[in-house]
Amino acid sequence: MRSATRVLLSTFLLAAAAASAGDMKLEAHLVWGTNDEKGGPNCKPVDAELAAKLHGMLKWKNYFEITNQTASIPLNKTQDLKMSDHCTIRIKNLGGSRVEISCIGEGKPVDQRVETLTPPKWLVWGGDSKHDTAWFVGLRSDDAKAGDANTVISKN
Amino acid sequence: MRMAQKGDLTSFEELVARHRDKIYARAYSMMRHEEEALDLSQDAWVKGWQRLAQFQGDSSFVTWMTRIVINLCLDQLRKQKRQRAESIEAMEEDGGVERQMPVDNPNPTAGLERVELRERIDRALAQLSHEHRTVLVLHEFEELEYKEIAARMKCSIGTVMSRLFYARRRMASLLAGLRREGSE
Amino acid sequence: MKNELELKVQAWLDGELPDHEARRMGEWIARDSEAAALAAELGCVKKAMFRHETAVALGESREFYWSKIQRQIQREAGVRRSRGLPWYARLRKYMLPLTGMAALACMLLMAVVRSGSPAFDEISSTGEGMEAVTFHDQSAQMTVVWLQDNSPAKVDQAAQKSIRYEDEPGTVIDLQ
Repeated sequence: MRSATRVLLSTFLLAAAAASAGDMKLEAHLVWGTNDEKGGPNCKPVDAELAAKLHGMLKWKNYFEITNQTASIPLNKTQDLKMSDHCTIRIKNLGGSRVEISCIGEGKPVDQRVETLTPPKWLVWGGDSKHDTAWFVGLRSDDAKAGDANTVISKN
Repeated sequence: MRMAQKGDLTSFEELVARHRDKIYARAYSMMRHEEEALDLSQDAWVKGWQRLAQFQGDSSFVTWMTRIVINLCLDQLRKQKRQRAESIEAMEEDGGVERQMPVDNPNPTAGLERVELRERIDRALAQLSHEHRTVLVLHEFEELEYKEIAARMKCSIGTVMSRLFYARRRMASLLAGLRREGSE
Repeated sequence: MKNELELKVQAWLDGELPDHEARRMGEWIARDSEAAALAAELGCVKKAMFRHETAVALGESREFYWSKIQRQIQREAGVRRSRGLPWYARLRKYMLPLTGMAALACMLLMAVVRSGSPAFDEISSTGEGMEAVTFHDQSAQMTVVWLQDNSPAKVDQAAQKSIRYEDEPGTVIDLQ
């Protein structure tokens, strides 16, 4: 009986490990691009790595992070990341670092795409905002932290 | 160039990258507004692409593109002109005070270093009206003749001459004034 | 000095007078101090401006500047092609790509089923009234998708919206 239990438990843990191995860890950042020196009350400058990339491609002098979200999405599952009252990112894990992503603005899909997000690749959506500023949502895979998912599962 | 004329957009993008600053600079010197100059320079590139087959090589490619952006700027200035008061226009055409004053300082730029001179010219140009700045830019920077300027600005040669005269006297006054400020 | 003469001094300076008139004008300017002073002032401004234009450079990156041009070229190419076509030709213009896409989708589906891994990377679609321009920076490992809402209602609405950061704490960004 004990050996049967052990077999069952091992099978469960193996299955859980296999499932978590298919999980995709993602981080998303809502960013404001502006030529002003200061951001709003809840803004902080984006991290140096992302700032360098944005500066390399885009015209604004400063980039401030409004919010950030992380998610661990199992294979073939979908999860929404609410970036603001007006903006949600819907992500489906297709496996093999591929994701189907929808940018939803005011409840309507504004852009949908399938991308391969292998680190350190960033996918950034952007659009005009008032007074010559811009909004951005930056998304990347964070597979380096995948070990945390296994820790969580084993605790369970 | 040949590849671009055959429809290769990548080759055209290379031409854009090479000459974009010059085209933008010309648009900015006429419009004195960054966003407008940006939009007009991009519109010029789109037009350039559409008309690329017509480019025969009589002038350099950048000269040809500059003509396109100048025409777009002039069209835009004409649209804006319709919104301005006629009385102000009439005053400017008469030439204002500077046209009638005796020559005070025949050499308003004496003693200025090159960089300083460029900056002062830029600041003085910003203070002219669109029409006067345009005629100066077309004559002094683009080296167009009176009749070419008249054709592009859709006015008479006499009007070009009057505007150019006023613009130069105003520039002399502004440059001398800026030089006096600098020495105080 | 009469205005007409002043303009002639300028025309002489700019080489716009016929040869015989330019010679007479040159002789007169040499004799008349007022004309000479005017010619000197105009000449000084002309010389000062010659090759002293301030260089102005674009602040935007190459890719960003090009992306809008490319988008407009492609949009106008589409408009030009459809203009002047009879209705059945315009309909065919949409049907053929759809048929082609259906065939492509079938081929890709077969590839997926056979190999078990996708044969393509990016497929994208944008919402109605939206335009998306995508550009990649290989060295930065970044893809930027620039969205523009061209629907008339949004264009009007956008004119009335404002960023609320300075007024309200803990806030939102207006997604246009």
